[in-house]
Amino acid sequence: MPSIDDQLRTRMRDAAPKPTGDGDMVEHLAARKRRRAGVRRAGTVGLVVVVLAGTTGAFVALGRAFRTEPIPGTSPTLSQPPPDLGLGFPICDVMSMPITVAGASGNAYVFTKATDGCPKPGEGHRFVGADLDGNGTVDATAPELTDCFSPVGCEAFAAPDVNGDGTSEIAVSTAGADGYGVWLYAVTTSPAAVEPIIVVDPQGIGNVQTGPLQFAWVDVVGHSGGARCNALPNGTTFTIFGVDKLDPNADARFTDLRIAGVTATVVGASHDRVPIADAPVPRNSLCGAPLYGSASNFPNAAPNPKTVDIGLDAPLCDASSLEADFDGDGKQDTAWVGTFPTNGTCVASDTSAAIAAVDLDGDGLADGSYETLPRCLLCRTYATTDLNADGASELVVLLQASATPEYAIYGASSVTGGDSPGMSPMLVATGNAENGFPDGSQLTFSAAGDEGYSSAVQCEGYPDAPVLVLWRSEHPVEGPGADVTDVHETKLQLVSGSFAVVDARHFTQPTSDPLPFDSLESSGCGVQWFPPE
Amino acid sequence: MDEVELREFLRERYPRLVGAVALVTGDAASAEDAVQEAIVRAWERTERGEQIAALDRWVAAVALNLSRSRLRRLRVERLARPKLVGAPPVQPSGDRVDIARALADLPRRQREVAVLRYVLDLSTEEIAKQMRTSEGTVKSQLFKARAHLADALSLVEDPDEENSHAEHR
Repeated sequence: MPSIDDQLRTRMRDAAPKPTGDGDMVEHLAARKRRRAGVRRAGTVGLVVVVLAGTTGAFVALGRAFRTEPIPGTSPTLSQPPPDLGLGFPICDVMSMPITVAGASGNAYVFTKATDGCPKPGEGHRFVGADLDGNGTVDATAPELTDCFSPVGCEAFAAPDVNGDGTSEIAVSTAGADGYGVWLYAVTTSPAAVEPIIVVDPQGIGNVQTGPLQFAWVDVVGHSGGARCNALPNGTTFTIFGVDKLDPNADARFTDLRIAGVTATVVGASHDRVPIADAPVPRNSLCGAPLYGSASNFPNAAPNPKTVDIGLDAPLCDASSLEADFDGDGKQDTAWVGTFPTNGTCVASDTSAAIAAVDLDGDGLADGSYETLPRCLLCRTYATTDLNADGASELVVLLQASATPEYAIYGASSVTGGDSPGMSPMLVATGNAENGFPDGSQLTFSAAGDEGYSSAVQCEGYPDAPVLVLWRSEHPVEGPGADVTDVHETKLQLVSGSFAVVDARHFTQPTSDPLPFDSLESSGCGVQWFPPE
Repeated sequence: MDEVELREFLRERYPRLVGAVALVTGDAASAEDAVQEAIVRAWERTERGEQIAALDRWVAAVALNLSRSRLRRLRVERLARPKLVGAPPVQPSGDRVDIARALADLPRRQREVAVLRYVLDLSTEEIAKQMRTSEGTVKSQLFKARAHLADALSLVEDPDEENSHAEHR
């Protein structure tokens, strides 16, 4: 009889799942490598995280009866496949989105050729096609999509009209480890065709690679990338941007393209250093067209943003609110978070100034506000809790609705003497720089984490003497140091409007050791920090 | 790494690496993705002129690191995107279920030690180096993992068998 070790060796090897990928793996890996390079060119490398905002409906405030009124995101249009859309072969995993072709309605489809069942997303032969007249049959398809990475695969992304000619372009995405790669296709009617748009750069001025038009759609810890349309007197340009967010400034590259038919000509390029808060970030629309598929949950810019008029300079766009007693007078107050409109309309502006405001006297109008929340990405009122046990609630603002949600704390001050009421961010008290919290900086912190780092938020002493416990660990995913994890634990107490570090420790441990905190289950001080609920 | 080397690696080592990572993470698809990502990163490194002494161990280490992050990410994906159209998962065999359950009951560290030893055939020294711990700790973890797996899988050993305790190389 074989030894237990031999039995385990045999049974575990037999039981180990086998790779399912078929086709030429070298080619598949080469494509994956090319995409990594492409995404890096667009400015997305480093410690990264797929910004998969939970559905906006998931961001519901916790505790008591306080609840945001979420703006519904664009639902993915996943449908059971019709017979074959007139293609003559069976298809599956069909995604569709409406398009406009010379003013008429049609549909774009992304589908997989069914061969003995439906291949898993990211595998098999996948195509993009268009029904130009809405009669339910595909009139044209583009060459087979490549670089459709598992587990999501290629998806219908958006159908914007990027050049204002009355016909939609079709954007198709592939979801990778650090965001989306997006390709843009042109639709033509005579003859019917769906073709990749090709970038040409006759003057050699662009920050973009020539060939098939592709760009990243990503917003991660250190980088972001996306595209937007700019309506100019002489026509619409399509601008691709890539941003390296290097504190305190962002390094932003822009490339302006003039798209006509299947040709995108580089007409301008720039390279700027801008404050991180002003750097462009992608939202959940492309040139005004909603995103579909898994990207539909990309943060912010709901198609019909909710506005509220709370007596500020302009109605507040994309507003969320919570009620609590923010000044400790025993009455319910209201706090809002939102953005100001640009030129009178709510748009997915990259430079929207997000604000937090509060109504302390119950008249429905803001009594105080604080503008420009840091790194706002689908900022929302998230929760209320009393973090200093003074009987008045603090407002927890969700700054970044992502796989690594980031939070800040705001507090209201009532009218005292000659002071005006206000809504102020809670800062870090002086003398805590050695623990990574610069004097007077706004306290922001995150939960969860991603490649190479984890974080968690816990609490001690709540509700009588709350102490916020912030955990963070980090290690390179590969290369030197990847086997050692740095762990930081910092305890902060809110006193007189600022957080003071009351205890901190730092240590290292083998990366393979379990972390001393659970980054997937963060809660404390009356708040569910992760996962957001 | 040229194409010949890559093809040989994919043929000889890739399936077992995917299986090993899948046994640790419990998810074959993400394991395959993590191993592929690790291979691509190794490929990039070699193109930059870096030398990777033991490619299979390097890929295993990076893939396991990636899988830790992926577990978190998948958790978020499940929250954000509950429906993903695709073929129904293949039902695993009975023994695969037994092994998966037995491994799932182990703490991750013991699970990794067991998989690195029994599936990837790493020595105690190699496991200790990869997990940045002592050989004594690896032996201890392996002993516990072995005992649990033997019990969970009802493994019996011939009393005359010389190897009556966990291997220590």
